[in-house]
Amino acid sequence: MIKDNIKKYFFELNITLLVCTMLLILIGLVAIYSATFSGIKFYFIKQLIWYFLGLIFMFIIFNINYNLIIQAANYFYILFILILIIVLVLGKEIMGAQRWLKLGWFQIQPSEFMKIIIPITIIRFILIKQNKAFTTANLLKIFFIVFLPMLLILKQPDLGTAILLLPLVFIILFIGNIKIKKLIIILFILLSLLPLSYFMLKDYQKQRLYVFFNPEIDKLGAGYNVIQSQIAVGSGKFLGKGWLRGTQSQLNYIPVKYTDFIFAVISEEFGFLGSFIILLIYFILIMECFKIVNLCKFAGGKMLGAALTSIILFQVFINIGMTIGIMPVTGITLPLLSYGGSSTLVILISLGILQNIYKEYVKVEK
Amino acid sequence: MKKYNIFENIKDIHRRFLRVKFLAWITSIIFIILLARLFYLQIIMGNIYNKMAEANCISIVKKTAPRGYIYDRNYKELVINIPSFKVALIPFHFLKNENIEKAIVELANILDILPEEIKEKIQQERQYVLEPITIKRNLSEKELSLLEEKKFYIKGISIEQEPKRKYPFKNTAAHLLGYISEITKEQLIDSRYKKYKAGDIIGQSGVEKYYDEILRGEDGAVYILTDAKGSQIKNLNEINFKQGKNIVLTIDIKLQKFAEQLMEKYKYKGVILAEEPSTGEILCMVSKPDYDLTFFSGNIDIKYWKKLLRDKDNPLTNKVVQGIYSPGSIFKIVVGIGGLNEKIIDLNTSYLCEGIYWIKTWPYKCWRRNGHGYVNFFRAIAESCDIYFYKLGLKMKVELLHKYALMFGLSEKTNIDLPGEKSGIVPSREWKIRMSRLPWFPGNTVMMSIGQGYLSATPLQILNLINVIANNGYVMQPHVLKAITSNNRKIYNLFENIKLFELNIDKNTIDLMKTAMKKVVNSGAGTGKKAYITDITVAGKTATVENPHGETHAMFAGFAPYDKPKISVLVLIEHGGGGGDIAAPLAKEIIEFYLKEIKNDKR
Repeated sequence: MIKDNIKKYFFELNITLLVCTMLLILIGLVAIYSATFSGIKFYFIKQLIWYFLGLIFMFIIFNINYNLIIQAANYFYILFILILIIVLVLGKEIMGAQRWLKLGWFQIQPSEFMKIIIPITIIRFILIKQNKAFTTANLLKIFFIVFLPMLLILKQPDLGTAILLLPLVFIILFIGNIKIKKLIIILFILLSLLPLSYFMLKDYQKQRLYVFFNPEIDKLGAGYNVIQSQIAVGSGKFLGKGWLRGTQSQLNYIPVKYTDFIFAVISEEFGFLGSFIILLIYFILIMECFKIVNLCKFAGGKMLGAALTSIILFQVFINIGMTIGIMPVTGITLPLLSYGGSSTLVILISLGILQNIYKEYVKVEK
Repeated sequence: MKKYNIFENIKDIHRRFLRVKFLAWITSIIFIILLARLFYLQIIMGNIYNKMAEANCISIVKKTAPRGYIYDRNYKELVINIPSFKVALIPFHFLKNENIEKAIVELANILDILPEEIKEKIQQERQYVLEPITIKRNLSEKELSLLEEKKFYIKGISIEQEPKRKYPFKNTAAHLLGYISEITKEQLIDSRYKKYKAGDIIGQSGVEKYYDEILRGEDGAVYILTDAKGSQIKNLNEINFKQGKNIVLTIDIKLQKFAEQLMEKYKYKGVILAEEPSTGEILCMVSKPDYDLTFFSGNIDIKYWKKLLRDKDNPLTNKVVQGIYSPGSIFKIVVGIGGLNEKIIDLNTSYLCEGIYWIKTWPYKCWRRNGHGYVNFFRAIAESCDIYFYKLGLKMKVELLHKYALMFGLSEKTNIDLPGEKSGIVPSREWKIRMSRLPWFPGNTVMMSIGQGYLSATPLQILNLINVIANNGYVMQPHVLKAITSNNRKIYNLFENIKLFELNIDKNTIDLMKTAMKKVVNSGAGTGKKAYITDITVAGKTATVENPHGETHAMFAGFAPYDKPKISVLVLIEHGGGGGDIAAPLAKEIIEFYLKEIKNDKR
C-alpha cells in the first residue's frame, strides 16, 4: 500500500527538525519579502525557487545513507578544489569578492559547499586511521586537508567562511574523542599563528575589525553598517514597527538587508518578541540535532552530525552577533533566513543528512 | 570496500555522550548571550534607538518665525522687521555638483568670504540632508543678481527671504533695545541656552535679550521623510511658525532722543536716566558712549564689532545697570535721614565747618576750602557741607551707615527687566576684613558718610535714593516693559506696578529731607541752583564724585514737580567736573522738556 509507505516514510523523519525547518523557511519568505519590498521584488521569487530546490535536495539526501556520502568524500573534495581554482580564475565579482560561479541563469558560491565537504573528508580520514587518527603526523594531514581549500577561499576573499572552517575541525576532533590535552595544544599553536594572519588581512577587513571595537570612528564609512543595524534592531522595541513598516529597513538605511543583515529587518519590524521566537526556533532545532547526534551509535555519524549542527550554530551566532554589534562584520549568512542560493542549499542538505542520521538510527532500533 | 568494524568500549561511548552534552551547554550559553543583548538593545535602549531611527529618516527644515516689534510708550516703532535675502546650500543637491571645489570657490568669490568657511559649514552637518545650511545673510543687490545667475550652473543654491531688524532711530536707545545675532558657539555649549539650536537668532543684550522668549515667537518646521540616499519621500508634517509678540516699552522716544542729543552736544560720557517715580516706568535711559544698531542688522559688521570691543570706553556696556559709581553727596540723603531717625541730630543741631577736619594726622577737606562756618541740617544738605556729614557719620558709626544704606536698597539689585544688572557694594567692618584683612578705620567711616570710599552703586540705585523722597517713603519697581501686544495692538499683559521697597521711617522725617532737597535747587546758596526752573519747583541733590582716574564725575539727581512728582532724573557726566555746574543744567533741560513739551502735548 502506498499509504503505508508514506506512513513509514514519515515515521522515519524527525518531525521536530522538519517543523523547525519549515517554520524558518516561512519566516525567511516573510522577511525577504519585506527586505526586497522597496527594491527588487525579483529576489523573492528567486529565493522561493531556491527553497523549493533545497527541500527537494533535502529529501533526496534523506534517502541516501550518510556512510555512502562519507565514503565518496575524496571525490567531492578533489572536484570542489578544482572548482575553487576555476572560481579564482573565471569567477564573477560581486561587491569586491570573487566568490561566485555563473552557471546559466543562476550563480553558485562553491566556498559555501566546502562547509560540508571538508568535514566529511576529515571524518573519512579519521575513520580510516581509527586509533592512530590523532598522531602528530595524521593531525598535520588533517590540517592540510583544511588549509588547502581555506587558502583558496581566503584568496577570493571570503574571510567569514574561511574562518568558520577552523572551529568546525575542532568540533570533529572533539567528538572524535581526541584527548583534551592534544586539543588544547593545537588550539595554542593556532592562536600563536593568529597575529601572523592579521598581516594577511586586506585593508577593508582590518577596517571592519577596528570598527567592531569602535563603530564611532567611521560613522559614514565602515562603521555605518554596524550603527545602522543596531539602530534598526533597537528601534524595534518590544513589538516591532510592523511588517513592511520598518523605517530603517524600508528606507534602505540597513545595508545588504536581504542577505547579511536580514535579522535587522526582522528585529525592527517584529521587535523583541519576533527575535525571541526566531531564536527559540533555532535553539529547538540545534538541540534536536544534538539529540540526534547522541542517538546515533556510530562515531562517523556522531562526528558528521555534530559538525553540521555546529555550522548552523556558528552561523546563527556570528550573523546575529554582527547584527546586534557583538561580532565583527563578515559575510556569513543567517541559516534559512538570508537570501542566497548556495547557503540555503547547503543548510538544507545538512539538515537532510541529519534527518538521514536519524533515519538510520530508527532503522537500527527496529 | 572494507566494512568498518567499529569497536567502541563503554567508556568511549560515555565520553562522547558527555562531549555532545558539553556542546549543547555551549549552545545554551550562546543563545543566552544573544537574547541578553537583544533585550538590552530593544527593551532597555529601545526608546533611544527609536529616536535615532527617527532622526535618521526625518529631515527637519526650520521655518524661522519673525521677531516681534518693539515700540515706545506712544507706539512709535523702535525696532521693526524688513525683508532681506540670505543664501543657503542644500547639501543633498549641492554635493551632486560635478566640481564641488570649483563651485565653492565661485560662491566664496561672489559672497566675499573664504572658501574654507563654506566647507566648514557644509561638513558640520550630516552629509545627505535637505535642510538648507545658511552661508550668508543680508545679501546685497549685487550679490543677489550674481547668485541668481549662478543658480543655473550650480545645483543646491537656495536664496531665501528672511526678516531682518531695522532700527528707525539708529543708535537712539541702543543699550536699552540691544542687538541680536546668530547664537554663538560658546552659547550653544552653555546649559542656559539649552532651548536654542545652532543657527538661531537670539537677543544678545538689552530688551532683545531679556524678552527674547516673547519676541522670538515659535519657529515652524517641515518634516520630510527621506531614505538612506537623502531623497525626499514625502512631507510628513508641517508646523507653521508663530510670530513673536510685540513689546511696548515705557520709554518716550522723544525724551530719549532729546537726552541723547544733549549728551552728544557736549560730547559727554555718562548716563541720563529718567523715571516716573509713582510707577517705576523708565522714561529715558541714556548711556554714552553707545553704538549704532544699524551695523548689527543682518550680518554684524566685523570691523565695526572689533572696533567696539577695542574701545576703552566700553560702548557695549549699559552704564545705567552695569556701571558702578560712588553715589557721592547724593548718599547724604541716606546719612541725613539716618541721623534724624536715630535722633542723633535734629533740625537745630549745628556743626562747625572750618574747611578741614583732622583725624589724628589725616586731613579731610570740605569741598569749600574756607569752610561753611556753623551749619545746621538744611544748610548741610543745600550747600552739601562735607564736614557736617563727617561728624554725623562718625557719630552714627559704620554699623548705622550700613543699616540705612541697605534700607535704601543699595547693594541690592533692583531687578529691572534688563540683563546684566550689577548690585554695587555697601561696606561694613566684616566686609573690609574679608576683602583686605585690614580693620575698619574712622577714615573709612568719614569717606562713607559722604558716599565715597568703598561705597558704590549703579545709577539705577542712585536714582532710587531720590525716588524714595519723591514718593514719601517708597520706591516702585523700575521697569522698561509697559505691555506685550499682538499686531492689532491687542494687549496680552500689562506690567503690574509693584513696590520695590518701603522705608519704615516717620513721614515727617522724609518730609524734612524733601524740603532740604528743595533748598538745594531753590535757595541762593544751594549747590543745585542751576536746575532752577521759574514755573516748576524742582528738588534734587548734587554730587561731585572724586575718582582716581582724573576729573570728578558730575552728578545731579532730582525730581519735579515738587508737590506731585512726575519725573525723577539722574544726570551723571563722567569726568565732567562739578555736579552743580555741569549736571544740574542738563537735568533742568530734561525736566523742562518732559513737563512742558511732552506732558503739555498730551493735554
